[in-house]
Amino acid sequence: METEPGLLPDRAVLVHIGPYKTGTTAIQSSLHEHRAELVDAGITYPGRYHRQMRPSWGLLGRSRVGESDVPLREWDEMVDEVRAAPGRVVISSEDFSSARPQHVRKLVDDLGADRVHVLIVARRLDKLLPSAWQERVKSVNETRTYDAWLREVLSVERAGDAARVFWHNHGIRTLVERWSTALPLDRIIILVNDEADRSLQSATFERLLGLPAGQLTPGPHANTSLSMERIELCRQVNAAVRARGWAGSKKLNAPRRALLAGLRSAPLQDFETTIPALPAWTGPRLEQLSEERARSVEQSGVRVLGDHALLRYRADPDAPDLGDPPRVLPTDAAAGAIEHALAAMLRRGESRSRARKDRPSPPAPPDPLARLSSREMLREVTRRQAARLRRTSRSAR
Amino acid sequence: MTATVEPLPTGSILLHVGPYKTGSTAIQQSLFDQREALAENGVHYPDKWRRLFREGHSLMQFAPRGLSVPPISVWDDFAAGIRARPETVCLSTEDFGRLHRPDRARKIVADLGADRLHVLAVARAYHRLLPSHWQERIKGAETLTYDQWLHQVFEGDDSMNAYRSFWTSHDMERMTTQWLEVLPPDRYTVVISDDSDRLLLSHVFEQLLGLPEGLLAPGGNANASLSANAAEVLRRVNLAFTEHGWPDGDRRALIRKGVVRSLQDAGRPAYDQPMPALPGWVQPAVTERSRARVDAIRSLGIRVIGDPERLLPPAGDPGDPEVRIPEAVSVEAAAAAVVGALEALFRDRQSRRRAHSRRTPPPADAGPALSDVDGRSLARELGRRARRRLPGSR
Repeated sequence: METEPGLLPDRAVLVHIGPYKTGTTAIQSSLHEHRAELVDAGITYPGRYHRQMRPSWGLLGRSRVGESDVPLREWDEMVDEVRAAPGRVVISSEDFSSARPQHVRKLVDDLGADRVHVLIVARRLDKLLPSAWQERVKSVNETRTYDAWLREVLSVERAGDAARVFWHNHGIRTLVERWSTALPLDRIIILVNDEADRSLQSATFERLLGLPAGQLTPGPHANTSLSMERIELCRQVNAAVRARGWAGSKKLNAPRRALLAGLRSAPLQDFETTIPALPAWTGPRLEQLSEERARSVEQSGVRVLGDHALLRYRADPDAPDLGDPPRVLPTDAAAGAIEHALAAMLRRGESRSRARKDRPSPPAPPDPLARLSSREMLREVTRRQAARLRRTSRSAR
Repeated sequence: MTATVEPLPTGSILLHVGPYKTGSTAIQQSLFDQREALAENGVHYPDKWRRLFREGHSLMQFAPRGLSVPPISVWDDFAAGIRARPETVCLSTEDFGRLHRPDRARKIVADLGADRLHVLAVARAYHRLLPSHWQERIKGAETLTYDQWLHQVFEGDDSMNAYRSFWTSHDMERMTTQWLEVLPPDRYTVVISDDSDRLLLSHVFEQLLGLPEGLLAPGGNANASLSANAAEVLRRVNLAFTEHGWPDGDRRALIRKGVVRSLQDAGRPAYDQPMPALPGWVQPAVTERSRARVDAIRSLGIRVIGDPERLLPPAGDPGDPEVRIPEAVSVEAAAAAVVGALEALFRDRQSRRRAHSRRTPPPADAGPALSDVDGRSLARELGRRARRRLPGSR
């Protein structure tokens, strides 16, 4: 066990892979917010967004539902930026936790086998499970109730996609196994989260990167959780989406995001509830899994920051059953959700009708820009900038 | 059981004028669904839609929000076609239940033929009608709460939308007098509706048209009412629509045909409450108007089916002093509303795809390639597009 995280080497590339629901949004928002200070300290946080999502998707060959895969080029562009960076680099994307061995190998090869350090955050299972279920309902059209999902994830067989996905992304042993195929164990870091210490993660990043203590104050974004009532609305909408065969349509992406924004926009009412404590039936199984998890960390042979014992869990044998999902939600939240979803749909329609107006009349001389989407143009601009950057950095060396 | 009604003479034209929220949708749906059976019994019912729509709008030179007003020729052609038919005809549109220009009634009578026309209106008790009417408005674009709306209806005047829209349809005396200027009283029938007898109106139509009993019995829950909770959600969505200044065409596609339809299909989940009764403050005014209507019906000399006393509100029910706005709604109804909007999105997509396939392909000449464009032009174009996307800079 190591309690004082040592400073990483001068040109280290710290790759923070989450996993999902371990506080990634908070640390990413903080890193993004403090870009100027990072630059002053000679640290590169690549790209312009709050995390390196699109480059990571480029590597993994992923995309938003129904949209075409992010091209590998976007990963390559980030690799160029990392290679050109003179000092330490930090990259953060929870999607790396779902990387398969071939992706891990490519990531390490591209970013530099001598430079990469991987950071995995381990969170106590009883804290992770409710967040993970909620995230699935919000983002991937999960239709199982919390109870049904828990039964699947905690089953001994781990059959079914809920269990498979959860343990692929969160199983400590599997994660270490996957990353150790491409990296020596001493370049894998497990940070054991302390649920009682909210500043642990930012403090750890500060020490690893050599930033002054207290510099990584919280950024503006937090992936706030919704009340159980509002999640239930999402779940029922998901069920309808599935029943109507709309799942996987990219047309849903914007209204779905807007729906969540609308649900967050309304104030919490007294009758609303947070996600309930884990029911008694999960107790013995969860204690056993948590114990295994603590031991996996202890015996992993990787650098461990924090106390693996914090992953142990003591169940409450009297915790009540989950019962039925809530039936009611605040009128404000419902109306807000619908309003935001409608706004997103109308924005789509508006840009479409404007695009129609923008179409050149046939006899006009062909203008390559008129036919291009702004995204295509932006991509071209980015490509040129990256090329320029490559040229400048090469000549600087 | 409904009173026995004499059938109309063969070759009559029965024009049912509603008004709104008196059971019109259900009877129109039955007439439309049974139009072949009607034809076998010697009765013609136009087969275009459930009720007269564009034809009526054409005569009134009016169109609902988001639609365009059809030319008068639409009505003229339609009326000529009806007059040319020798058999009994039944027509229905609640739009004619709110005519406010006598020349329009005169034109209807002249075009369809004074010798054949019988007009039928339904009178529904105000205390039943008011909550329904407010809901119907909410399914449109209304943003007033039930209580605010009632204040306008009973304390307002012609300058207020709520007042105008309610009394143009439900001021029975004014409406009837208008028709009686162009039609003898024995050609004007009022049916007193009875909310506890859902077969009443269909029986009256069956008897007037000489149809087998039960043929027009209402089917499913046509134009079902919303719960008070769902209505409140919809009202807030209407507020948002108005605040954002979103177009009426979108309102029709997304709300009327999307959210509202889906809420109606979902029925009323257990948690959600039906519309509340009238609040205490408005009850004296409702009783007064109801009494005046009963007196009018008795004095006009028209044909009356049913007991006008049924139009009076029950005495001795003080009701809640004011209407409470529901602060919660069932998750089921909220989800139905969301899904209804999404349904409109997918419907829209299908119709667009059809339209798209008819569009001519772009010219083959591709022009200069993107790589030939210099960075400055690229940046300028991107900037132009970004500005265009900003709100208020159109």
